[in-house]
Amino acid sequence: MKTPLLEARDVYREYLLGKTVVKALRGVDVVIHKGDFVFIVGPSGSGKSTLMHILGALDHPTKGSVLLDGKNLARLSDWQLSMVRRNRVGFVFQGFNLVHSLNAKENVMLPLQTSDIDKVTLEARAIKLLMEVGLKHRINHRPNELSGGERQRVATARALINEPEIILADEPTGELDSKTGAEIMGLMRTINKEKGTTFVIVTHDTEYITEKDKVFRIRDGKIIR
Amino acid sequence: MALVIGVVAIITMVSVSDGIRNSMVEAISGMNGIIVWEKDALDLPFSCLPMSYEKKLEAIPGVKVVFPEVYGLVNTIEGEKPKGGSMTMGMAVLAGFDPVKEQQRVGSIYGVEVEKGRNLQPGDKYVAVIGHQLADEYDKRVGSIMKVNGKRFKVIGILEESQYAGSAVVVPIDIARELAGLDSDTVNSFTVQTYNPSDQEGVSKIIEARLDDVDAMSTQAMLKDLEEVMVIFDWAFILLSSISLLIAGIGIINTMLMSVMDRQKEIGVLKAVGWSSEDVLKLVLYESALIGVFGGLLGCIAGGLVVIGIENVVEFGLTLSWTTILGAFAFAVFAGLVGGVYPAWKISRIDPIQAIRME
Repeated sequence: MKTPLLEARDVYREYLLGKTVVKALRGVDVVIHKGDFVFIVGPSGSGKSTLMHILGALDHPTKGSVLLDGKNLARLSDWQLSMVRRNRVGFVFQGFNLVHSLNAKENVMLPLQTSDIDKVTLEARAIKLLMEVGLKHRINHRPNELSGGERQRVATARALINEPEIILADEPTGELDSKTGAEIMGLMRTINKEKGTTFVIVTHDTEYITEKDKVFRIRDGKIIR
Repeated sequence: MALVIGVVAIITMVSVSDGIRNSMVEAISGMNGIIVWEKDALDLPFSCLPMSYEKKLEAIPGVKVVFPEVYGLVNTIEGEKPKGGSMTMGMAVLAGFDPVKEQQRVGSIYGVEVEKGRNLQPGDKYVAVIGHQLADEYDKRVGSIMKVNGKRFKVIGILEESQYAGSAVVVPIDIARELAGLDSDTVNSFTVQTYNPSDQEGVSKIIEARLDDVDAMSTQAMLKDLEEVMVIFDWAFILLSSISLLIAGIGIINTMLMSVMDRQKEIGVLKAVGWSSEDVLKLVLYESALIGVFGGLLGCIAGGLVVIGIENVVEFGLTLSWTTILGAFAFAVFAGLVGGVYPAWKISRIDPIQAIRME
Protein backbone atom coordinates (compact mmCIF):
# COMPACT_ATOMS: atom_id res chain seq x y z
CA MET A 1 0.00 0.00 0.00
CA LYS A 2 1.22 3.52 -0.88
CA THR A 3 2.50 5.51 2.16
CA PRO A 4 0.44 8.69 2.62
CA LEU A 5 2.31 11.95 2.06
CA LEU A 6 0.37 13.65 4.83
CA GLU A 7 -1.82 12.12 7.48
CA ALA A 8 -3.82 13.42 10.45
CA ARG A 9 -4.69 10.76 13.02
CA ASP A 10 -7.43 11.44 15.55
CA VAL A 11 -6.50 15.13 15.76
CA TYR A 12 -8.03 17.33 18.42
CA ARG A 13 -7.40 21.05 18.75
CA GLU A 14 -8.66 23.13 21.63
CA TYR A 15 -7.83 26.71 22.44
CA LEU A 16 -8.89 29.40 24.85
CA LEU A 17 -10.99 32.29 23.66
CA GLY A 18 -11.10 34.51 26.74
CA LYS A 19 -12.23 32.07 29.41
CA THR A 20 -14.06 29.78 26.99
CA VAL A 21 -12.46 26.58 25.71
CA VAL A 22 -13.13 26.31 21.98
CA LYS A 23 -13.01 22.79 20.57
CA ALA A 24 -11.99 23.52 16.97
CA LEU A 25 -11.21 19.92 15.98
CA ARG A 26 -12.66 16.80 17.60
CA GLY A 27 -10.91 13.65 16.41
CA VAL A 28 -10.17 14.34 12.74
CA ASP A 29 -8.63 11.70 10.46
CA VAL A 30 -7.30 12.74 7.07
CA VAL A 31 -5.10 10.86 4.61
CA ILE A 32 -3.53 12.67 1.65
CA HIS A 33 -1.37 10.99 -1.02
CA LYS A 34 1.18 12.51 -3.34
CA GLY A 35 -0.47 14.22 -6.35
CA ASP A 36 -3.92 14.40 -4.72
CA PHE A 37 -6.14 17.42 -5.34
CA VAL A 38 -7.95 17.66 -2.02
CA PHE A 39 -10.79 19.90 -0.88
CA ILE A 40 -11.63 20.50 2.77
CA VAL A 41 -15.09 22.00 2.74
CA GLY A 42 -17.39 23.20 5.42
CA PRO A 43 -19.22 26.23 6.75
CA SER A 44 -17.51 29.13 8.57
CA GLY A 45 -16.25 28.11 12.01
CA SER A 46 -16.27 24.40 11.19
CA GLY A 47 -12.52 24.06 11.87
CA LYS A 48 -11.27 23.75 8.28
CA SER A 49 -8.65 26.55 8.55
CA THR A 50 -7.41 25.12 11.86
CA LEU A 51 -7.01 21.73 10.18
CA MET A 52 -5.09 23.34 7.31
CA HIS A 53 -2.72 25.10 9.73
CA ILE A 54 -2.08 21.83 11.57
CA LEU A 55 -1.47 19.93 8.31
CA GLY A 56 0.99 22.67 7.24
CA ALA A 57 3.09 22.53 10.46
CA LEU A 58 1.93 26.02 11.42
CA ASP A 59 -0.06 24.80 14.41
CA HIS A 60 0.05 21.69 16.55
CA PRO A 61 -2.75 19.39 17.72
CA THR A 62 -3.83 19.28 21.36
CA LYS A 63 -4.18 15.52 20.93
CA GLY A 64 -3.49 13.12 18.09
CA SER A 65 -0.69 13.25 15.53
CA VAL A 66 0.20 14.61 12.12
CA LEU A 67 2.57 12.55 9.97
CA LEU A 68 4.53 13.87 7.02
CA ASP A 69 6.04 10.98 5.07
CA GLY A 70 5.32 8.89 8.14
CA LYS A 71 7.24 11.21 10.49
CA ASN A 72 5.41 12.73 13.43
CA LEU A 73 5.61 16.55 13.26
CA ALA A 74 5.20 16.77 17.07
CA ARG A 75 8.76 15.46 17.43
CA LEU A 76 10.26 18.34 15.45
CA SER A 77 11.77 21.46 17.00
CA ASP A 78 10.56 24.98 16.20
CA TRP A 79 13.47 25.37 13.74
CA GLN A 80 12.79 21.98 12.09
CA LEU A 81 9.11 22.93 11.64
CA SER A 82 10.29 26.19 9.96
CA MET A 83 12.39 24.07 7.61
CA VAL A 84 9.37 21.84 6.81
CA ARG A 85 7.39 24.98 5.89
CA ARG A 86 10.32 26.39 3.92
CA ASN A 87 11.23 23.26 1.96
CA ARG A 88 8.17 21.03 1.68
CA VAL A 89 5.02 23.11 2.05
CA GLY A 90 3.64 26.14 0.22
CA PHE A 91 0.86 28.34 1.61
CA VAL A 92 -1.73 30.42 -0.20
CA PHE A 93 -3.47 32.49 2.44
CA GLN A 94 -6.94 33.91 2.59
CA GLY A 95 -6.59 37.61 1.69
CA PHE A 96 -3.31 36.97 -0.18
CA ASN A 97 -1.06 38.29 2.64
CA LEU A 98 1.47 39.88 0.35
CA VAL A 99 4.01 42.37 1.71
CA HIS A 100 2.90 45.76 0.40
CA SER A 101 6.35 47.37 0.42
CA LEU A 102 7.74 44.68 -1.94
CA ASN A 103 7.00 44.17 -5.63
CA ALA A 104 5.59 40.94 -7.12
CA LYS A 105 9.02 39.41 -7.76
CA GLU A 106 10.30 40.23 -4.25
CA ASN A 107 7.13 38.81 -2.69
CA VAL A 108 7.64 35.56 -4.60
CA MET A 109 11.30 35.39 -3.48
CA LEU A 110 10.39 35.96 0.18
CA PRO A 111 10.19 32.32 1.47
CA LEU A 112 13.75 31.57 0.31
CA GLN A 113 15.36 34.95 1.07
CA THR A 114 17.17 33.47 4.07
CA SER A 115 18.07 30.20 2.35
CA ASP A 116 21.45 29.33 0.81
CA ILE A 117 20.18 29.88 -2.74
CA ASP A 118 22.03 32.77 -4.39
CA LYS A 119 20.07 35.89 -5.29
CA VAL A 120 20.51 35.58 -9.06
CA THR A 121 19.15 32.02 -9.14
CA LEU A 122 16.30 32.99 -6.82
CA GLU A 123 15.37 36.01 -8.93
CA ALA A 124 15.40 33.90 -12.11
CA ARG A 125 13.19 31.30 -10.45
CA ALA A 126 10.72 33.99 -9.23
CA ILE A 127 10.49 35.58 -12.69
CA LYS A 128 9.93 32.15 -14.31
CA LEU A 129 7.11 31.40 -11.85
CA LEU A 130 5.47 34.80 -12.38
CA MET A 131 5.58 34.12 -16.13
CA GLU A 132 4.04 30.69 -15.58
CA VAL A 133 1.12 32.20 -13.63
CA GLY A 134 0.60 34.78 -16.37
CA LEU A 135 2.16 37.84 -14.72
CA LYS A 136 5.04 38.51 -17.12
CA HIS A 137 3.97 42.17 -17.37
CA ARG A 138 3.53 42.65 -13.61
CA ILE A 139 6.91 41.47 -12.27
CA ASN A 140 7.93 44.83 -10.77
CA HIS A 141 4.47 45.95 -9.66
CA ARG A 142 3.57 46.31 -6.01
CA PRO A 143 0.44 44.59 -4.59
CA ASN A 144 -1.56 47.84 -4.55
CA GLU A 145 -1.00 48.11 -8.32
CA LEU A 146 -2.43 44.62 -8.96
CA SER A 147 -6.01 43.34 -9.28
CA GLY A 148 -7.40 40.72 -6.86
CA GLY A 149 -6.80 37.91 -9.35
CA GLU A 150 -3.24 39.09 -10.01
CA ARG A 151 -2.50 39.23 -6.28
CA GLN A 152 -3.74 35.66 -5.90
CA ARG A 153 -1.47 34.62 -8.80
CA VAL A 154 1.49 36.25 -7.02
CA ALA A 155 0.51 34.41 -3.81
CA THR A 156 0.36 31.14 -5.80
CA ALA A 157 3.76 31.80 -7.36
CA ARG A 158 5.14 32.52 -3.86
CA ALA A 159 3.78 29.16 -2.67
CA LEU A 160 5.61 27.47 -5.56
CA ILE A 161 9.03 29.13 -5.15
CA ASN A 162 10.37 26.39 -2.87
CA GLU A 163 9.12 23.70 -5.25
CA PRO A 164 6.94 22.21 -2.49
CA GLU A 165 5.38 18.76 -2.43
CA ILE A 166 2.15 20.15 -0.97
CA ILE A 167 0.38 23.47 -1.42
CA LEU A 168 -2.17 24.40 1.23
CA ALA A 169 -4.59 27.08 0.08
CA ASP A 170 -7.05 28.79 2.43
CA GLU A 171 -10.10 30.11 0.54
CA PRO A 172 -8.03 30.92 -2.58
CA THR A 173 -11.10 32.11 -4.47
CA GLY A 174 -12.81 33.74 -1.51
CA GLU A 175 -12.02 37.33 -2.46
CA LEU A 176 -12.30 36.91 -6.23
CA ASP A 177 -15.17 37.20 -8.68
CA SER A 178 -16.38 33.89 -10.18
CA LYS A 179 -14.48 34.31 -13.48
CA THR A 180 -11.17 35.10 -11.77
CA GLY A 181 -11.84 32.40 -9.19
CA ALA A 182 -12.27 29.85 -11.97
CA GLU A 183 -9.01 31.02 -13.58
CA ILE A 184 -7.08 30.62 -10.31
CA MET A 185 -8.57 27.17 -9.74
CA GLY A 186 -7.67 26.24 -13.31
CA LEU A 187 -4.08 27.43 -12.68
CA MET A 188 -3.86 25.24 -9.58
CA ARG A 189 -5.15 22.20 -11.45
CA THR A 190 -2.59 22.80 -14.22
CA ILE A 191 0.25 22.95 -11.68
CA ASN A 192 -1.10 19.79 -10.01
CA LYS A 193 -1.17 17.99 -13.34
CA GLU A 194 2.13 19.25 -14.75
CA LYS A 195 4.31 19.30 -11.63
CA GLY A 196 2.56 16.63 -9.59
CA THR A 197 2.21 19.05 -6.67
CA THR A 198 -0.33 17.95 -4.06
CA PHE A 199 -3.03 20.56 -3.37
CA VAL A 200 -5.12 20.88 -0.21
CA ILE A 201 -7.74 23.56 -0.73
CA VAL A 202 -9.89 24.83 2.11
CA THR A 203 -13.13 26.36 0.91
CA HIS A 204 -16.81 26.72 1.73
CA ASP A 205 -17.47 26.95 -2.00
CA THR A 206 -18.18 23.58 -3.64
CA GLU A 207 -18.61 24.74 -7.24
CA TYR A 208 -14.97 24.01 -8.19
CA ILE A 209 -15.03 20.38 -6.99
CA THR A 210 -14.92 17.61 -9.63
CA GLU A 211 -15.57 13.90 -9.28
CA LYS A 212 -11.86 13.05 -9.37
CA ASP A 213 -11.07 15.25 -6.35
CA LYS A 214 -10.74 13.93 -2.83
CA VAL A 215 -13.13 15.82 -0.54
CA PHE A 216 -13.23 16.04 3.27
CA ARG A 217 -16.41 17.62 4.58
CA ILE A 218 -16.02 19.08 8.04
CA ARG A 219 -18.68 20.28 10.45
CA ASP A 220 -18.27 21.24 14.13
CA GLY A 221 -14.70 19.98 14.11
CA LYS A 222 -15.50 16.53 12.78
CA ILE A 223 -15.13 14.95 9.34
CA ILE A 224 -18.46 13.87 7.93
CA ARG A 225 -18.74 11.67 4.86
CA MET B 1 17.45 61.52 17.24
CA ALA B 2 18.60 60.48 20.74
CA LEU B 3 21.32 58.44 19.08
CA VAL B 4 22.52 61.37 16.95
CA ILE B 5 22.58 63.66 20.02
CA GLY B 6 24.46 60.98 21.98
CA VAL B 7 27.10 60.67 19.26
CA VAL B 8 27.45 64.48 19.01
CA ALA B 9 27.81 64.67 22.83
CA ILE B 10 30.49 61.98 22.86
CA ILE B 11 32.50 63.53 20.02
CA THR B 12 32.33 66.97 21.66
CA MET B 13 33.21 65.66 25.13
CA VAL B 14 36.15 63.59 23.93
CA SER B 15 37.42 66.45 21.76
CA VAL B 16 37.26 68.86 24.70
CA SER B 17 38.90 66.33 27.02
CA ASP B 18 41.67 65.56 24.47
CA GLY B 19 42.15 69.28 23.82
CA ILE B 20 42.56 70.07 27.53
CA ARG B 21 44.88 67.11 28.03
CA ASN B 22 47.07 67.95 25.01
CA SER B 23 47.19 71.63 25.84
CA MET B 24 48.13 71.01 29.50
CA VAL B 25 50.68 68.34 28.61
CA GLU B 26 52.20 70.71 26.04
CA ALA B 27 52.41 73.50 28.58
CA ILE B 28 53.79 71.40 31.43
CA SER B 29 56.20 69.36 29.32
CA GLY B 30 57.65 72.60 27.94
CA MET B 31 58.52 73.86 31.41
CA ASN B 32 61.39 71.43 31.76
CA GLY B 33 62.26 72.16 35.36
CA ILE B 34 60.97 72.79 38.87
CA ILE B 35 58.55 75.68 39.40
CA VAL B 36 59.02 77.43 42.71
CA TRP B 37 56.35 79.88 43.90
CA GLU B 38 54.92 81.36 47.09
CA LYS B 39 53.26 78.76 49.28
CA ASP B 40 49.48 78.49 48.74
CA ALA B 41 49.42 81.26 46.13
CA LEU B 42 46.43 80.94 43.78
CA ASP B 43 48.50 81.25 40.61
CA LEU B 44 51.91 82.50 39.52
CA PRO B 45 50.87 86.20 39.09
CA PHE B 46 49.60 86.14 42.73
CA SER B 47 52.84 84.70 44.07
CA CYS B 48 55.54 87.01 45.44
CA LEU B 49 59.08 85.86 46.28
CA PRO B 50 62.27 87.81 47.14
CA MET B 51 65.10 87.80 44.58
CA SER B 52 67.43 86.69 47.40
CA TYR B 53 65.98 83.17 47.01
CA GLU B 54 67.83 82.93 43.68
CA LYS B 55 71.17 82.42 45.48
CA LYS B 56 69.63 80.04 48.03
CA LEU B 57 68.18 77.93 45.25
CA GLU B 58 71.46 77.92 43.32
CA ALA B 59 73.21 76.62 46.45
CA ILE B 60 71.14 73.43 46.54
CA PRO B 61 73.13 70.41 45.31
CA GLY B 62 72.13 69.28 41.80
CA VAL B 63 70.78 72.66 40.74
CA LYS B 64 72.28 73.86 37.48
CA VAL B 65 70.53 77.19 36.88
CA VAL B 66 67.73 79.29 38.43
CA PHE B 67 65.51 81.53 36.28
CA PRO B 68 63.70 84.39 38.01
CA GLU B 69 60.34 85.04 36.36
CA VAL B 70 57.64 87.71 36.48
CA TYR B 71 54.06 87.13 35.32
CA GLY B 72 51.10 89.42 34.97
CA LEU B 73 48.13 90.29 32.85
CA VAL B 74 48.46 92.79 30.03
CA ASN B 75 46.01 95.63 30.75
CA THR B 76 46.17 97.47 27.44
CA ILE B 77 47.52 96.86 23.95
CA GLU B 78 47.73 99.82 21.59
CA GLY B 79 46.02 101.92 24.30
CA GLU B 80 42.94 99.70 24.59
CA LYS B 81 41.88 96.58 26.45
CA PRO B 82 43.20 93.51 24.60
CA LYS B 83 40.79 92.63 21.81
CA GLY B 84 38.17 90.06 22.69
CA GLY B 85 38.75 88.34 19.37
CA SER B 86 38.22 84.66 18.72
CA MET B 87 41.79 83.76 19.59
CA THR B 88 42.93 85.77 22.61
CA MET B 89 39.45 86.15 24.16
CA GLY B 90 40.50 89.47 25.69
CA MET B 91 43.36 87.91 27.67
CA ALA B 92 47.06 88.52 27.12
CA VAL B 93 49.74 87.25 29.50
CA LEU B 94 52.84 89.25 30.37
CA ALA B 95 55.98 87.19 31.05
CA GLY B 96 59.27 88.70 32.17
CA PHE B 97 62.49 86.66 31.80
CA ASP B 98 66.11 87.53 32.53
CA PRO B 99 67.84 87.93 29.12
CA VAL B 100 71.24 86.97 30.60
CA LYS B 101 69.94 83.81 32.28
CA GLU B 102 67.91 82.86 29.21
CA GLN B 103 71.20 82.06 27.44
CA GLN B 104 71.63 79.10 29.85
CA ARG B 105 68.10 77.68 29.51
CA VAL B 106 67.98 74.10 28.29
CA GLY B 107 65.17 73.89 25.75
CA SER B 108 62.89 76.76 24.80
CA ILE B 109 60.60 79.02 26.83
CA TYR B 110 57.78 76.75 27.97
CA GLY B 111 58.46 74.43 25.08
CA VAL B 112 57.59 77.05 22.48
CA GLU B 113 60.22 78.09 19.97
CA VAL B 114 60.68 81.60 18.56
CA GLU B 115 59.48 81.05 15.00
CA LYS B 116 60.31 84.46 13.51
CA GLY B 117 62.96 86.94 14.69
CA ARG B 118 64.93 86.19 17.84
CA ASN B 119 64.66 85.54 21.59
CA LEU B 120 65.62 88.03 24.35
CA GLN B 121 69.33 88.89 24.55
CA PRO B 122 71.45 90.65 27.19
CA GLY B 123 71.07 94.40 26.92
CA ASP B 124 67.51 94.26 25.56
CA LYS B 125 65.11 96.83 27.05
CA TYR B 126 61.77 97.72 25.47
CA VAL B 127 61.55 94.74 23.17
CA ALA B 128 59.00 91.92 23.13
CA VAL B 129 58.61 88.41 21.84
CA ILE B 130 54.89 87.89 21.25
CA GLY B 131 52.58 84.89 20.77
CA HIS B 132 51.32 84.04 17.28
CA GLN B 133 47.71 84.80 18.15
CA LEU B 134 48.53 88.34 19.24
CA ALA B 135 50.68 88.83 16.13
CA ASP B 136 47.75 87.73 13.95
CA GLU B 137 45.13 89.73 15.83
CA TYR B 138 47.13 92.98 15.88
CA ASP B 139 48.85 92.36 12.52
CA LYS B 140 52.36 92.61 14.02
CA ARG B 141 55.58 91.43 12.41
CA VAL B 142 59.19 91.39 13.52
CA GLY B 143 60.21 95.07 13.68
CA SER B 144 56.64 96.34 14.35
CA ILE B 145 55.99 98.64 17.31
CA MET B 146 53.39 97.48 19.85
CA LYS B 147 52.11 99.54 22.80
CA VAL B 148 51.71 97.36 25.90
CA ASN B 149 50.33 98.92 29.12
CA GLY B 150 51.16 102.36 27.69
CA LYS B 151 54.81 101.56 26.79
CA ARG B 152 56.14 101.18 23.25
CA PHE B 153 57.85 97.86 22.51
CA LYS B 154 59.66 96.74 19.42
CA VAL B 155 58.55 93.25 18.39
CA ILE B 156 61.78 91.24 18.01
CA GLY B 157 60.30 87.77 17.80
CA ILE B 158 57.07 85.84 17.23
CA LEU B 159 56.51 82.49 18.96
CA GLU B 160 55.50 79.42 17.00
CA GLU B 161 51.85 78.31 17.03
CA SER B 162 50.86 77.04 20.45
CA GLN B 163 47.68 76.81 22.47
CA TYR B 164 49.46 77.76 25.67
CA ALA B 165 51.62 80.73 24.65
CA GLY B 166 49.52 82.16 21.83
CA SER B 167 48.66 85.35 23.73
CA ALA B 168 51.97 85.84 25.58
CA VAL B 169 54.01 89.04 25.64
CA VAL B 170 57.58 88.13 26.71
CA VAL B 171 59.74 91.07 27.78
CA PRO B 172 62.98 91.53 29.80
CA ILE B 173 62.35 90.91 33.50
CA ASP B 174 63.17 94.48 34.64
CA ILE B 175 60.65 95.90 32.20
CA ALA B 176 58.06 93.30 33.26
CA ARG B 177 58.51 94.36 36.91
CA GLU B 178 57.91 97.98 35.84
CA LEU B 179 54.71 97.01 33.98
CA ALA B 180 53.44 94.70 36.76
CA GLY B 181 54.27 97.22 39.51
CA LEU B 182 56.79 94.94 41.29
CA ASP B 183 59.93 96.34 42.93
CA SER B 184 63.37 95.27 41.74
CA ASP B 185 63.89 92.75 44.61
CA THR B 186 60.75 90.74 43.84
CA VAL B 187 59.73 88.07 41.37
CA ASN B 188 56.63 85.91 41.01
CA SER B 189 58.40 82.59 40.68
CA PHE B 190 61.60 80.77 39.81
CA THR B 191 62.15 77.93 37.36
CA VAL B 192 64.93 75.65 38.57
CA GLN B 193 66.75 73.35 36.14
CA THR B 194 68.87 70.51 37.47
CA TYR B 195 71.97 68.90 35.97
CA ASN B 196 70.10 65.62 35.76
CA PRO B 197 66.35 65.79 34.92
CA SER B 198 65.75 62.66 37.03
CA ASP B 199 66.86 64.60 40.11
CA GLN B 200 63.89 66.95 39.89
CA GLU B 201 61.75 65.10 42.43
CA GLY B 202 64.50 64.97 45.05
CA VAL B 203 65.54 68.59 44.50
CA SER B 204 61.89 69.72 44.82
CA LYS B 205 61.74 68.11 48.27
CA ILE B 206 65.00 69.77 49.36
CA ILE B 207 63.70 73.18 48.15
CA GLU B 208 60.50 72.85 50.18
CA ALA B 209 62.53 71.69 53.21
CA ARG B 210 64.96 74.61 53.05
CA LEU B 211 62.50 77.37 52.14
CA ASP B 212 59.40 77.25 54.36
CA ASP B 213 57.28 79.70 52.38
CA VAL B 214 57.48 78.10 48.94
CA ASP B 215 55.88 75.31 46.97
CA ALA B 216 58.10 73.46 44.51
CA MET B 217 56.80 71.16 41.86
CA SER B 218 58.65 69.33 39.13
CA THR B 219 57.39 68.86 35.58
CA GLN B 220 57.00 65.13 36.19
CA ALA B 221 54.97 65.74 39.36
CA MET B 222 52.73 68.19 37.50
CA LEU B 223 52.16 65.65 34.72
CA LYS B 224 51.34 63.04 37.36
CA ASP B 225 48.86 65.43 39.00
CA LEU B 226 47.39 66.19 35.59
CA GLU B 227 46.92 62.51 34.89
CA GLU B 228 45.04 62.14 38.21
CA VAL B 229 42.74 65.02 37.24
CA MET B 230 42.27 63.57 33.76
CA VAL B 231 41.28 60.20 35.28
CA ILE B 232 38.35 62.03 36.93
CA PHE B 233 37.59 63.55 33.53
CA ASP B 234 37.72 60.10 31.94
CA TRP B 235 35.32 58.64 34.52
CA ALA B 236 32.94 61.57 34.03
CA PHE B 237 33.18 60.90 30.30
CA ILE B 238 32.45 57.17 30.79
CA LEU B 239 29.45 58.05 32.98
CA LEU B 240 28.05 60.54 30.46
CA SER B 241 28.67 58.09 27.60
CA SER B 242 26.82 55.37 29.51
CA ILE B 243 23.88 57.72 30.07
CA SER B 244 23.94 58.60 26.35
CA LEU B 245 24.06 54.88 25.49
CA LEU B 246 21.12 54.20 27.79
CA ILE B 247 19.01 57.04 26.35
CA ALA B 248 19.92 56.12 22.76
CA GLY B 249 19.23 52.45 23.51
CA ILE B 250 15.78 53.26 24.96
CA GLY B 251 15.06 55.41 21.89
CA ILE B 252 15.97 52.55 19.58
CA ILE B 253 13.98 50.00 21.62
CA ASN B 254 10.96 52.29 21.33
CA THR B 255 11.43 52.87 17.59
CA MET B 256 12.01 49.20 16.83
CA LEU B 257 9.11 48.03 19.02
CA MET B 258 6.73 50.38 17.21
CA SER B 259 8.16 49.28 13.87
CA VAL B 260 7.82 45.52 14.51
CA MET B 261 4.40 45.84 16.16
CA ASP B 262 3.17 47.65 13.05
CA ARG B 263 4.48 44.75 10.94
CA GLN B 264 3.22 41.82 13.05
CA LYS B 265 1.11 40.47 10.20
CA GLU B 266 3.98 40.78 7.73
CA ILE B 267 6.36 39.00 10.11
CA GLY B 268 3.72 36.35 10.75
CA VAL B 269 3.63 35.70 6.99
CA LEU B 270 7.43 35.41 6.92
CA LYS B 271 7.32 32.80 9.67
CA ALA B 272 4.45 30.95 7.98
CA VAL B 273 6.34 30.67 4.69
CA GLY B 274 9.42 29.22 6.35
CA TRP B 275 11.43 31.90 8.10
CA SER B 276 12.69 30.58 11.43
CA SER B 277 12.56 32.59 14.66
CA GLU B 278 16.34 33.09 14.26
CA ASP B 279 15.83 34.52 10.75
CA VAL B 280 13.30 37.05 12.11
CA LEU B 281 15.62 37.87 15.02
CA LYS B 282 18.49 38.53 12.59
CA LEU B 283 16.26 40.67 10.34
CA VAL B 284 15.19 42.97 13.20
CA LEU B 285 18.74 43.17 14.60
CA TYR B 286 20.01 44.01 11.12
CA GLU B 287 17.43 46.81 10.87
CA SER B 288 18.30 48.22 14.29
CA ALA B 289 22.02 48.03 13.51
CA LEU B 290 21.23 49.93 10.31
CA ILE B 291 19.55 52.63 12.43
CA GLY B 292 22.78 52.67 14.46
CA VAL B 293 24.87 53.03 11.28
CA PHE B 294 22.77 55.90 9.90
CA GLY B 295 22.43 57.57 13.32
CA GLY B 296 26.17 57.15 13.81
CA LEU B 297 26.99 58.65 10.41
CA LEU B 298 24.67 61.62 11.02
CA GLY B 299 26.01 62.04 14.56
CA CYS B 300 29.64 61.90 13.38
CA ILE B 301 28.99 64.54 10.72
CA ALA B 302 27.04 66.75 13.16
CA GLY B 303 29.60 66.18 15.96
CA GLY B 304 32.49 67.01 13.64
CA LEU B 305 30.74 70.22 12.56
CA VAL B 306 30.01 71.17 16.20
CA VAL B 307 33.67 70.66 17.20
CA ILE B 308 34.97 72.57 14.16
CA GLY B 309 32.40 75.32 14.85
CA ILE B 310 33.39 75.67 18.52
CA GLU B 311 37.06 75.66 17.60
CA ASN B 312 36.54 78.37 14.98
CA VAL B 313 34.71 80.59 17.46
CA VAL B 314 36.82 80.21 20.61
CA GLU B 315 40.04 78.40 19.49
CA PHE B 316 39.81 76.28 22.61
CA GLY B 317 42.26 73.66 21.41
CA LEU B 318 39.59 70.98 20.77
CA THR B 319 41.22 67.92 19.24
CA LEU B 320 39.07 65.95 16.78
CA SER B 321 40.72 62.63 16.02
CA TRP B 322 39.77 59.69 13.80
CA THR B 323 39.88 57.50 16.93
CA THR B 324 37.15 59.67 18.50
CA ILE B 325 35.02 59.62 15.35
CA LEU B 326 35.39 55.85 14.86
CA GLY B 327 34.76 55.25 18.58
CA ALA B 328 31.57 57.35 18.48
CA PHE B 329 30.44 55.52 15.32
CA ALA B 330 31.08 52.14 16.98
CA PHE B 331 29.08 53.38 19.99
CA ALA B 332 26.13 54.19 17.70
CA VAL B 333 26.18 50.78 15.98
CA PHE B 334 26.50 49.05 19.37
CA ALA B 335 23.58 51.11 20.77
CA GLY B 336 21.59 50.15 17.65
CA LEU B 337 22.28 46.46 18.14
CA VAL B 338 21.62 46.52 21.91
CA GLY B 339 18.41 48.53 21.38
CA GLY B 340 17.22 45.98 18.82
CA VAL B 341 17.69 42.90 21.02
CA TYR B 342 14.41 43.09 22.98
CA PRO B 343 12.13 44.01 20.02
CA ALA B 344 13.85 41.30 17.92
CA TRP B 345 13.42 38.68 20.63
CA LYS B 346 9.79 39.67 21.22
CA ILE B 347 8.71 39.63 17.56
CA SER B 348 10.67 36.47 16.75
CA ARG B 349 8.43 34.59 19.19
CA ILE B 350 5.22 35.73 17.54
CA ASP B 351 2.64 33.05 16.72
CA PRO B 352 2.31 33.20 12.90
CA ILE B 353 -1.35 32.14 12.91
CA GLN B 354 -2.41 34.90 15.28
CA ALA B 355 -0.28 37.42 13.39
CA ILE B 356 -1.79 36.47 10.01
CA ARG B 357 -5.32 36.83 11.37
CA MET B 358 -4.63 40.42 12.49
CA GLU B 359 -6.42 43.15 10.57
